[in-house]
Amino acid sequence: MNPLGEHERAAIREVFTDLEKDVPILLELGPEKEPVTVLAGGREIDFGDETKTLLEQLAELSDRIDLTVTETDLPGQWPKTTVAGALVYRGLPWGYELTAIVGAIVEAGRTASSLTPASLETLASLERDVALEVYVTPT
Amino acid sequence: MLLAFRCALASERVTAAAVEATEFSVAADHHGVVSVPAIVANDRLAWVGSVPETAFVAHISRIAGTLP
Repeated sequence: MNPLGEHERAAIREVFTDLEKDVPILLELGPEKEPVTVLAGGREIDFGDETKTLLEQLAELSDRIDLTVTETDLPGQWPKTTVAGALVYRGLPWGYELTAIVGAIVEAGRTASSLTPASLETLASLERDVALEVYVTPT
Repeated sequence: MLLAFRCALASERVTAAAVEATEFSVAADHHGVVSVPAIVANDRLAWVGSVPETAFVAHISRIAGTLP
């Protein structure tokens, strides 16, 4: 499989030139707790393999990106990609969602937040924890 | 999605995960997700649809009990 075409590689490489600090990425693979079958191009998608290939290709586009891949035997929501120890993507970031994983890398590679000062002030005043899960689809 | 990631990077109070709804359809069904993006906050469906940064942060603030 070759998830990224040459045009996409060039565009992403350009975006990654803005990385100001190193960005570690951890990919965790394992058996899915509730397996689903998705066919694309006449074949069954292996989410773990496809994610690994995609992340390896992204990591080749910048020296700032350090990819680590681990595997477990425990069933769960795999593949799980964690960018900079904080930003999580569960599943294969394919199609339009490629922008989510690239965006996560770019955000984690900044030395300053891209949020407005007003947003930062509001977030600094939070009194309780908020765990966000954003459900997305590839298209 | 990027706003959630930005908020998570900006505040230790916020964690953010994207979940591919096709692959994890059981979890999506559990939360009543029928369209995307759907934002689940603290294990409850909070809102659906993309919103500007100001509204996104305001949602978080309300969930955290900071805003009424």
